[in-house]
Amino acid sequence: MRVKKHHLYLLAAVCALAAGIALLPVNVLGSSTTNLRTLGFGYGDSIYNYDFENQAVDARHVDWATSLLFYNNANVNKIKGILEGSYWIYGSKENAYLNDTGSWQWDQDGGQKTELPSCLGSDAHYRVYAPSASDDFYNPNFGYYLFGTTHHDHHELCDASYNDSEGTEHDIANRMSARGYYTRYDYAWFYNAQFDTQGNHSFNNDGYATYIEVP
Amino acid sequence: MSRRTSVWWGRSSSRLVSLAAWLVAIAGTASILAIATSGAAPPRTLATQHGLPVRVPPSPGHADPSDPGAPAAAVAPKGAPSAGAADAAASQAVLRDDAALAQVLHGIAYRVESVSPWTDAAGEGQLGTVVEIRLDRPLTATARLPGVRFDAGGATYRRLLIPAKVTGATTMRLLVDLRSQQIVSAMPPDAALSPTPDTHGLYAAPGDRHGS
Repeated sequence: MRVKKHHLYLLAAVCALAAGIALLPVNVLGSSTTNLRTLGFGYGDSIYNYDFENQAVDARHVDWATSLLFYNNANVNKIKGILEGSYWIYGSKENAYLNDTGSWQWDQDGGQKTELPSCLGSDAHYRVYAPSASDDFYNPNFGYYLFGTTHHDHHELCDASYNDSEGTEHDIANRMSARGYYTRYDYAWFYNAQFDTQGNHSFNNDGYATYIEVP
Repeated sequence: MSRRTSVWWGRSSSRLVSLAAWLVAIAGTASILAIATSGAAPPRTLATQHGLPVRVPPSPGHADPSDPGAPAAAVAPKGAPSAGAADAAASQAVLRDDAALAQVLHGIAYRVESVSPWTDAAGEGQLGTVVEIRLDRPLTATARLPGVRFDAGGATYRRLLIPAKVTGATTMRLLVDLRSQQIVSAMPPDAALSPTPDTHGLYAAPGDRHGS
């Protein structure tokens, strides 16, 4: 059978269109903020002050405000290990965009939460982020460090809603302090104070992050 | 169809198919480029600007370093904005007339503590208001509480009635949809709620918004 040129064009066109469709990101309509900023930690390190629902920097698809910073000798597994007695259930993954000494990259974390999802119950939930190859940042000001976001999940199996980033930040500060870690609640301004209710997502973040030293 | 017409049609259709193929190919390639760049890194300048400076950690035995964000913090909002007067008045009118809320409260009086805006998931269109109320005495009852379950996109919601036992609730959070003039959610704090034998039938369906 002779293949005509325009058949080849058509085949190429269909392939190109199919590839385009296959690459379409699955966009969840997220929450929005007017406070999206990059924060600098010195030595070329920086982060966005919210995490994101997709791997795209978009102020209309943020998830939660950055509210925690672990420093000195922290890494992701160490923090999760310290908190796993109370925070023991894996959560759904979100995304942070971070710059480790001049190189922007994505990190993803589902974090840990305190309870199984239920119809009428709630749980505290945190996520922590760092360059994924090392699971920590390093610079002389902060040592080995990473950052995190916090919130509460409510009624996830019925009328799900999400709020109270301050409450979980406070809970983690209390737990770490009780275990002897030097903790400074609401120590540094992270430019992400936000108080509003968007759909089932309520922000009540005072804009300050808690610093916790991990030896 | 005559042979001449058939030949003409054959040539024309061949050209048309080629033209259509080129157009589709261009559209496909453009869509790939658009998608490939839509989630791309922000402008390169961000990588060299390092962002807004944040406070460095404290050192034991030394005075705390200053917070370079302090001037911005001083002018930042300290709490939820109040709804406009018209929306607040409309919300209070809905509360007065809502039979479902009256049924849940069993005649317990209340006062409104705050009314703030409730927008869609994108924060753009206003759905109504969030109303916090304080009850004059604790509510203990078995009730079917109105609630909302948002779809996966977070743009629309379905209404639910959730069977629950309420024990000693002194506050409630209401969502008032000002478009439908109804209270679509009336929830005491979680600590005051426990399931009834009927509660189990309400688990979320695939596609509903879950996890945040």
